[in-house]
Amino acid sequence: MEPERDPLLAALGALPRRSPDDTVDQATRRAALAELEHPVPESLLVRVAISSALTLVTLLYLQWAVLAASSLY
Amino acid sequence: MEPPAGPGQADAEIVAGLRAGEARALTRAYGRYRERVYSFLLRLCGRAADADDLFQETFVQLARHARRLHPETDLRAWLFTVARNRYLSHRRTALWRRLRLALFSSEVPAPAGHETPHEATAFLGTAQRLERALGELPPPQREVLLLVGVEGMEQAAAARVLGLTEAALRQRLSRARARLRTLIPELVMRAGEEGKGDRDGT
Repeated sequence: MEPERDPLLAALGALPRRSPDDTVDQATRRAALAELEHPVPESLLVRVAISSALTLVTLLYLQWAVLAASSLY
Repeated sequence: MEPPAGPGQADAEIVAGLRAGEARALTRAYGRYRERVYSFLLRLCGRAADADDLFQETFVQLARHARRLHPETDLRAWLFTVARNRYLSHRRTALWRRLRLALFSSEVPAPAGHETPHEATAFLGTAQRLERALGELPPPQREVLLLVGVEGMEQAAAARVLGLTEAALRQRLSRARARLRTLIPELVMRAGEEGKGDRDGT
């Protein structure tokens, strides 16, 4: 049977479409337009992630060094 | 070159505009597919709150990839593929969350789309019965019916969205239709048992 002639699929095709509510609608429009007009380069995201990780490691090392030094005295 | 089935001239223009980074093209794409993508996600998720998030992510993803779209992109298939991928990712997270809850709590929340028992529904008409039956289908069967039945997508395009061969899609579609047919008479019987609301509402 051709799917287009299946009354079940025809009934499914007649189901009403739904819309997001106004808040979601406006937020989505704004977010998408902002993304298009001010794209964040992925390379920048990678650089930010790497530098954040390095900073964290450095801070943890400094904390350990301070604790280790203070335990000596 | 003949355009691929589905997108049409309007979509080709939108894709060209998106590749050029035009806000107007994005607005056109949003206006054209807003309700279709949202309806798909809402029926797939079964929860408006989840659909809202995934809907926004889908269009932000379109904006992010606008300049990198291939000129021949089937915009509709692209959007539905992204929406579905977002849903799958969301579902994996939700399953993991439920698993953790099951491990640490005796109370397990109901899966999406089944948050209300059938007796809570008045079954007012065919559309409601269909919506309810769709919600009871396993996600793989639901999504194929949403794309081919509700969205009216060609089988080849739906197969691309779902990452299936056309033969596999036909098989899944056939099973989904058979399953839906078995569900709807049950729902009609339930409605009949529970009251006269069915005919009054249609």
